[in-house]
Formats: sequence, C-alpha cells, structure tokens
Amino acid sequence: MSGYTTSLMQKILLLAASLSLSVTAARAQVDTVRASTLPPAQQAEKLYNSGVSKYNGKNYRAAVQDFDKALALRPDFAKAFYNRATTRYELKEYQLAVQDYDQAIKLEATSFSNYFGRAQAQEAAGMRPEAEQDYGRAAEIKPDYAPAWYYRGALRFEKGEFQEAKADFDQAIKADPNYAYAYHDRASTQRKLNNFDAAVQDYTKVLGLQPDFLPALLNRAAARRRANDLKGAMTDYNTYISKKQDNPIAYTNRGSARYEAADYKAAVEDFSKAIELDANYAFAWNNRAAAHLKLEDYKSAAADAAKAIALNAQYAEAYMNRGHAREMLRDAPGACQDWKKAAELGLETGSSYAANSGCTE
Amino acid sequence: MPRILLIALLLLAHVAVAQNVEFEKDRFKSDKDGLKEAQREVKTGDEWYDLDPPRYEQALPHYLAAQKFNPNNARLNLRIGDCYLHSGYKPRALPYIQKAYQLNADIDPRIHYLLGQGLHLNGKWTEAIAEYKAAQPAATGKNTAAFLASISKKIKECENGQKLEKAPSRVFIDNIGAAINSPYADYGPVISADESVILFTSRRDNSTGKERDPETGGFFEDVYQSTRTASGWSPARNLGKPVNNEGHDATVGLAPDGQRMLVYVEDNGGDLNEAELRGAAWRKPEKMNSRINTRAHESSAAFTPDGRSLYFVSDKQGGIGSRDIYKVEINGRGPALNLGTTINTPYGEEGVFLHPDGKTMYFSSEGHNSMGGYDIFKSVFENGKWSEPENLGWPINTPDDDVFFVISASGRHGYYSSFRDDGLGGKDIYQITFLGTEKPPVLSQEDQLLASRAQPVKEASLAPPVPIATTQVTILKGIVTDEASKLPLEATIDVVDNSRNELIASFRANAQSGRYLVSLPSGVNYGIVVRQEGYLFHSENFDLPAGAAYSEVVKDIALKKLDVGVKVVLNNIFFDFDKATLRKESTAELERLQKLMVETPALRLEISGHTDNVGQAVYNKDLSQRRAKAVVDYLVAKGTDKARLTFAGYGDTQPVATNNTKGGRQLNRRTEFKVTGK
Repeated sequence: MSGYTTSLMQKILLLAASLSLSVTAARAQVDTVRASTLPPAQQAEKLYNSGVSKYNGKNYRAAVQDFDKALALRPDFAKAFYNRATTRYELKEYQLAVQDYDQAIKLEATSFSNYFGRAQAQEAAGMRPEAEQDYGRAAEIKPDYAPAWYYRGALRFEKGEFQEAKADFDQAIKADPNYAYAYHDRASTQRKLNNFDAAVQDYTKVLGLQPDFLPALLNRAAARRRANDLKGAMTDYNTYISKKQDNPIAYTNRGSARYEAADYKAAVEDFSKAIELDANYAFAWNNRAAAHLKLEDYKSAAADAAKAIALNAQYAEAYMNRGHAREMLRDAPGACQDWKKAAELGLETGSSYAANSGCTE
Repeated sequence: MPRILLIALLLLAHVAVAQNVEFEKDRFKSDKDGLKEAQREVKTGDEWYDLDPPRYEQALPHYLAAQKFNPNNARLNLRIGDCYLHSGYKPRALPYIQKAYQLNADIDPRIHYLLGQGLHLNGKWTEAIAEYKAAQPAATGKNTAAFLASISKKIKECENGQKLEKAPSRVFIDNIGAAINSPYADYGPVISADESVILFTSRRDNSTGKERDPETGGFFEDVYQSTRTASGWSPARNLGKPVNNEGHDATVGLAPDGQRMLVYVEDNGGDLNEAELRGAAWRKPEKMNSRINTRAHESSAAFTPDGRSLYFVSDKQGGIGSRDIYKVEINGRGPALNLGTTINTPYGEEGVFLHPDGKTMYFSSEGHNSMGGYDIFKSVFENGKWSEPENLGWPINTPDDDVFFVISASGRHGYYSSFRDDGLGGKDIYQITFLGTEKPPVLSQEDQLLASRAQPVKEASLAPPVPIATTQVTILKGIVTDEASKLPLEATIDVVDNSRNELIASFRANAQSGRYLVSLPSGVNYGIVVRQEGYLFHSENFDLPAGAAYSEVVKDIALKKLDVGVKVVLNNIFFDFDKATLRKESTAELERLQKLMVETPALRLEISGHTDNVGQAVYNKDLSQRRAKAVVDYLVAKGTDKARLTFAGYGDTQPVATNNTKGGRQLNRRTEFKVTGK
C-alpha cells in the first residue's frame, strides 16, 4: 500500500509547487528565507536557514535544534514555528507539531498552509474532529487547494458521513479535475451510498488517469458485483490477478464473486490460494468454510471456520458458519453455542437460529 | 474378421440374457430336483397370488425362492414386481418389472404402465413419464376413460415430484430407535404437545391375545406407549386392556396434554373411540357420538387444543372425494362439516392432525400437488379460511403413501412411519427434525476503499439473513400439588379469555402425577385458574399477543388450603396505568373471588395492593391502597358484606421477589388476598 501513499505525496508536492511554495514533501512545506533580504546581524534567520538545510538533508533532530535557537532569538518568527512543526511531524512528534502550528497560526492566522499542516498533525495524533475542522478552514481560505477537501472527505467517509464526504470529493475534483485519488474515494463513497453505477464510472475514471492504480480494479469489481454485473466483476478480478498475484484480498474477493455465481468449487480454489499467500488471513478461512457449506462438505466447513475463529476470537461470521456446519454434523449443542456467540458479537440472526433450533438457555 | 466376430458374440450374448426361460425339464436337465422345488414354490406363490383379493405378502417369498433358481422367467419376474408394488417396499418392484419386459416385451398389455409405476416409485420422474405415455395406447375397452385419467394423474404426479425434488425440505429423518420400533410393523405415532409421551400402533408378537389376523397373517394391532426420559424414549409398553383387545386396536389421535386418546376400531365399518387417562391407567375407550361415527369408515382424527372439537376423516357419502376431512363440535348439536374444496379433493384425504396452535392442520392427500400416493400437506386457518395446502416436500414425502404425520408444538419435530432401508423390520416410526429454510453462510469481504489509507475497510456480509417462521403457541405445563403435603393433585385447570370473560377450555391434571399441560395459541390474554375442592384457587396470567413466538413455560403450582393467614396472588386483576381503575379484563378474576365469598360464608379477607420500588414510597403506598379498595368496592357492590372485607396498601414494603430485575418487579406489582377469618 505504501506505493499509493508515495504517489499521493507526489501529487501534493506538485500541487504545492504550483502554488509557488518551496515544498520538499507533502507534509513538509518548508520555506527558506533568502539571506540577501536579511540584515547580517539577524542570527535568527541564519539559524532558520541552517535548519531548513538540515531538514532537506533529513537531519531532523539537528534541524529542530536550529529552529529552537532561531525562535529563542525571535519568538514572533512564524515561519520558524511552521518549519519546526513540519520537522516534528517527520519525527512523529505530532503533539509537539500541533503546538508549533498553534503558534504559527497565532502569528499568521490567514495562512491556509498552517491550518492544513496542523490538520495533518492532528489527524496523525488521532485528533480527528480537530483535523476535520482545520482541513475545512484551509479549504475555506484556499478553495482551490484540492488536498484540503480530499482529506476532509476521507475523514468524513470514515465517520460514515457519506453524503458530506461526497460533497468534499466533488470539491476536490472541481479544484483538480485530474485528482485520481479524489475520483477513487468518491467512487467508494458512491458505493457506500448504493449508487453502484456512479461508483463504477468513477473507478473507471481513476484507471484512465492512473492505469497502474490496481486497487481501483478490485473496487470496481466489487461495485460491479453490487450492480449485478457479475461478468464485468469477474473480468476486473481476472485482470487484477493477471497483474498482481500476491494479494490474498484479491483472491478472497474473486472467490466471493465465484461463490455468488454459485461456482463453489472455483470459490474454494480462490480461498485456498488466498490462504496459501497468507495463512493468517481469517476472511479467506471463513469464506472457504461458507463455500464448503454450499458443497455440503460440513466437516471441512467446520474445520475452516474453527481456523478463522482461532485467528480472530471475535469473528462473528465464522461462529455463524461453524454453527451451520455443526448443525449439519448433528452437533446441536455446538451449533447452539456458535449461533449464540455470533449473536453476542452482533449477528442477531444467530439468536433466532438458536431459538428455533430449541437451544436451551 | 475379428470385429465381425465380436459383434456376433455380443449379439448372441444379448439374446442369451434377454431370452425367457420356462420352468421346463429341457431347460434344467442337470438339476431336476431343483426344478421340482422351484415349480412347487411357483405353484404355492400362485395359490396366494390368485386368491381374491390376492395375498401378495404371502406369495412373495415363494416367488423369490423360485426366482433364485430361475431368474429369467418373465411371468415370475412380473409377478414378483406386482407383489412388491402391493407391499411396503414398492420401489423394489422396478428391477423385476424391467427384467420381465426385457425377457418378453409382450408379457402383459399393462407392462408400460407397470414400468411407469416402478420408475415413478423410485423417483425416476422423466423415465416414468415416458413409460406412462407409452402405456396410453393400451387403454381399451370399457375402462378406457378411467385408465387414461389414471395415467394423466400419474404423469402430473411425476411432474410435481420433479419440481418438489429440486427444492428439497431441509430435514433430518431418523429412525426413532429400538425402544419403540420392533422387527414388526410399527406405525401411527401420536405425541403430546411437548413430546413427552408417544403412543403408536404395532403389530408385534406380544399383542393382546397373541393371535394373527387370518387375512394378512400379521399379529393384530395394539396400542403401545413410551415416555421420554433423560436418556431417550423408554421401552414401549403395551397399554393392555381395556384399550387393547384381541382384535385390531390402533391409536389415531392424542390430546395435546396426553390425557385423551382417540382409538380406531374396526366395527361399524370403522369407528372412532375415545379413551381417557386417569392416573396411570387408560380407561376403556368409549364410542364417539353418531355425528362422528357413521356406518361408513371413520379413520383418523384430531382434537382441537381446547378439546371441544374434532377433525376427522370419513368416507361417508356426500363427500368431495373418496375420503374427506370433517370438523365437528364434540358435545354440540350441529352436524359434522366438510372442510370444503380447499382441503378436500376428488381423491382421498387421510391422517388429519391439528397443531396445538389450533390453526395449523397437517393431513395427507392423494390430490393437490402430490408426487404419488398420499403426500403430507399443511394448511393454516386464517381470516376465516384455510390456506392453499402446502406439500411438505421431498424427502418427507415420497412417491409412495406418506400418511399419519404429527408434529410437536414447537414445530421442530414431526413423527411418521415409513418403510426405509435402515428400518428394524416392517414399517418403522421416524422422527423428522425440521431445519427450516437454508441458513445462509456468511462471507466477509474487505477492500481498500480510501486511496490514502492502507487499511482495507470491511464490508457488510454479502448474504442477507432469512426470515424465520415459528409456531405461535405457548405450552404451559407443570405439576399441581398440595402445598402442605407436596402430594400431586388432580386439579382442574380453567383457561379463560380475559378480554371476553369467557371460559375457553377446562383440563384436569393427571390424578397420579399431578401433571398438566395446556396449549395457548397466541393472540389472547389468558387467565389460567387452577382449582380443586377444598383449596383456594390459583391464578396465572399469560397475555400472548398475536404472532407471539413459540415458548414452553414450566410452572409447578402448589394449591393452598383455606386457612387463616394464607395469601393468594390475584394475577388476573388489571388496573389502568398509574390508576386505581379496574380494567374489564379483571372481571373473570373478580367474579371468581365473589363466588368464593358466596360459597364460603364465614370467609373474611384482607385485599392488599403491592408495588415495586420504582417511584416514591408514599405515592406507591397510596396507589396500592386505592387499588385494593377498588377490589373491595367491586365485591361489596356485588353483594359481599362490607364487614367481611378489609383493604390495605403496602406499597413496596412486602416484596416477593427482587426489585433489581424486570421479572422481579413484575412479581412485586400485585394484588393479593389474605384469609383473615373462616
């Protein structure tokens, strides 16, 4: 997945550059102060520039020390606060970074990059509501800065506010009509809103902009399945797998599509391949249990579901499937126990299965 | 050349296999004794077979012995096939009929029809249809129309079978075991609603009188009983006299509480008798009235849950088909009513059973969408009419007869008898476990939904849950005892519809065990009153809204003798929320109390109100006092001397259960009386 993050970094770098900012990384919009404009006696600026140089050399600790010194000499040096915050972000000192952004904002309240930077640090520090607010402030100050909309959209998506997330992704796309990630995440939002055709359209756009962004293929396949285009979904899964053979999720999801097409034997093959790639992938074990149930191979189903449970003791679906298998294996008490556990973990149907099978309290 | 030789040899081999071999000396020169023996067997078999009516069961072993000696005689194979077609093991007929046809395609003008039957009984639907169609040209003479109609019906049955087999019912079908089944014929199971008792009919060698039926050669039918224990069914015991006699005695129905049984007897063309269980002994079965029993054949029957009406099968004239289902109020005056064409068909209906919910009927029919012979169907009485009967499906139903099916109140287990290969001999009783519609397996899926997040997002499971139908009845059961001696009491249990202030039914607890069981179909606010002379009544309330799912409640009840200081909770007195206004559903209970005051003139009572600990104590005390007073006022208004009654409100000061649970608080909110003088 790191590849996707890198390409995003490149994207933000490009955007930042277009805004004539001296940017070295997405989260490190470190500005230098040209020495020629400064009086020679101003040590603060010298230290500041030294800090920038060390930052660029990835010598973050030393950079922080320079920014410290610069700020000791000149406590109203907004850019030094900003750069120290950015450096601290790289050091994963998110709380300290937030504090520095606070100071930078106090000194320069209208800079969108201060808000955007603080939002990134807040998000990294787990302060999501604050981050959402700051992305919003950044977008307000600079509406054509697509990443501000995009990141707020992602946070809203994760909160389950899909309508709001879609509006943000719309804005990001408006600001940057070639913003592949924004199309991608808008597609996922459409999918959550059950607008599967729109989702397929956006995922297709992503693949047009960035053909090597393979997750869009997997996601388009999933959206096509939900749009009842099982054939199209299979084509996407097959294309993905022809390009990338080491992703257990891809085999598991194609297996699920094969299951949906009632091709249970082929589904078992895919789930088995996923297990071969990652023996700790509980979903593959669980799904293979489901396919075994359909093939009336209840012993294998019970064994696979048990393996999924061993990997994740809170796995409701696996308990449910093992319950079904145990019922058919004439292990009524075992089935009852599993259905009840599934219900306890959130799959309420388990309770009715238990009640209707005469499970005692 | 070798190729031609091979073909010639193959043709010769075919001719050799397909050639009919007569039981003649020329054919068996080397084994004259064996031939003689086989001829004797054929002759004996023929004697049984040619009787009117033919005795297939007796003929079959002789024919099989002869067939062992000479497997290639077309006539013999056909007769064996025919014997099997008239036995419990009908599917076994097929290979013999096929062989007969191979040996001599002209062996019988009905050969295609017989082949069709053999294939049909083995569930070979398509081939059976082809044979039935091939049989059509053989229809000649005066019975042509009837024969063609029979073929059409058989073809339709095969088509039904094809459809039903494609969507089989999810069930386990298990032999109920050696405690109940024997090497002889065991059939006609009937059960109590809670499956604690099973009665069935058997033709085993310890039948009463130990005589064999001269017509069939089997032992006479007797009724047997088994009870469920922690380790399974107890060994079946012959009920003995007065239920069982030297002739045929077969059980056809049992009340949900297991205290009344319906017995089929052969006299008067086939009649229904009723027997009652008193203590541990069944009383002599009594003939049911003439609105039920006629000179025609009355066979199976079922009580309604209130015990007041009977569904029964009769072949009396004026019906819709050969046998129809009727309903009659047992002690009423009206005639038995035919259930009409939704249920009854131009063919036969048999084996009626009414679920304890009082509205779901199971019966067997040769009509509707039967896949052959009698199939078991289900229909529900709702909004004043019976629903379209639903075939219970494959593999419960088979191309052969499937009759006399009963089901537990929970709907989880059915019982019937069947000839199966895993049987202990003859027909055996099987338990069907209903698994319901397929429980969909659940799959998991995750995707990387956000491009900037490495963590995949789990998606909702793909398979949606399925709705589950449950039976809508509550089974209330337990033991009634004397509170002081702890001995069982043969108390009366009245089931009252509180809303209508109407007695629905009365049952009696078993005299010996004190056990009782009542079926309470959902949709009624029930008052349950347990009473016995010399004791104060005990009341329980079950308010079961329409659609309330199946439940089984065990409630042991200890009746108290009328003594000073004894307290009784009045569970069927209801007030408006937060008020002291008596609701109309309380009328039945209040009238019971009034009756008690009239019947026991020296009785003096304190009526008290109690609350849980929710709310302010002062308020609770006041409310409980006003409610107690409302009861006293009612009794006084109905003529009870005011001096015999006092009232008190105790608020939450006398709890009978914890106030920490909903159930406990409900028990604490109560109206009760205490005997202050007698």
